[in-house]
Amino acid sequence: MSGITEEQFAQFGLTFGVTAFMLYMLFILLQLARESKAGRFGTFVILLGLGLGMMGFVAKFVIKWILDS
Amino acid sequence: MSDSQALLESRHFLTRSVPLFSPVNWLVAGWRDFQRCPLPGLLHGVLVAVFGASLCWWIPDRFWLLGGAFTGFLLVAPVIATGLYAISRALERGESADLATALTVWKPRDGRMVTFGLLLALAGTGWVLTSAALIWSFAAAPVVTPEDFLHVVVLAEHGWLFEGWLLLGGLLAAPLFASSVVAIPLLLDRQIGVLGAVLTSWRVVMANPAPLALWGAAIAFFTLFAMATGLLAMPVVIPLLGHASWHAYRELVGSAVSPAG
Repeated sequence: MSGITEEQFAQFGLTFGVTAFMLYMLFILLQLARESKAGRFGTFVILLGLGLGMMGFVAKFVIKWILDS
Repeated sequence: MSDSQALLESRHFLTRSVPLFSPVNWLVAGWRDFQRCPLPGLLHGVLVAVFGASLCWWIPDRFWLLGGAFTGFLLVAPVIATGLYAISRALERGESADLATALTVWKPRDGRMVTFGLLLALAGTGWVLTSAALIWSFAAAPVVTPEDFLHVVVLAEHGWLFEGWLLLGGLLAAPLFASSVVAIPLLLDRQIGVLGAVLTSWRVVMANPAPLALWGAAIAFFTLFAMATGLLAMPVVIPLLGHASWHAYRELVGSAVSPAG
């Protein structure tokens, strides 16, 4: 009825779902830095270290998607 | 020179707090500098790409070691980009900027840059060994070629080796990044000792933990992207990040204040 195929719907859901998930992880990182009272340098280390780990997680998705398509 | 003297030297320079997304502005300004004076930047990038390709040619069947060597490059890159800082500074002052401007800074007027470069290279070697040990110990199969690295480390079906590798790299790189993020442009631009420049760099990070974590992640992202293109994007990525680093320094470090008394 709306002209959207199941594949398009899944693609849309995956794109926004992963984005929302990443934003949620970013929120967790900020909370972790705040609640652990890590201080300014601790916050920097947590954000950089876990941020790079998160970037690897996203990169894995993207590389798989490129190889599959 | 004692620590306290270095700290006093560092405190001659004001540090500024910047908004979270300032790294985007630095990248835009860096791109503008690259467009205004592309040749030196392209040359820096091509040299880095040729060096990377030479490493692959030299040790083609030890990617468990090369993976660390390539990412360890991030640690010494601030020194490599010194010529690009000089170009950005000349453009900012309205002076003419060309390849000679970039080459001039490499004349060894004093040992400060060499000292700092050697310290960063030593730290980079530490990361290469740590990375090799991590991959060697935890990879499900031997990592010999870049394809092995892609399938055994990056796209591993089980475990989180790739994420863990990046996370460990980030944790180890954090203090080094904090020591160098504005230190080299500061050494180039002002009369300050190595320890004073490093302490200023730390003060900048303390004042801006989130924007500088974003900046560190952006540098890692662009560099990994350039590596993923088989080093083809390196001639553009190196000048972009080099010029942008100068603008980061200019926004984060203010003018010198007169010493009291």
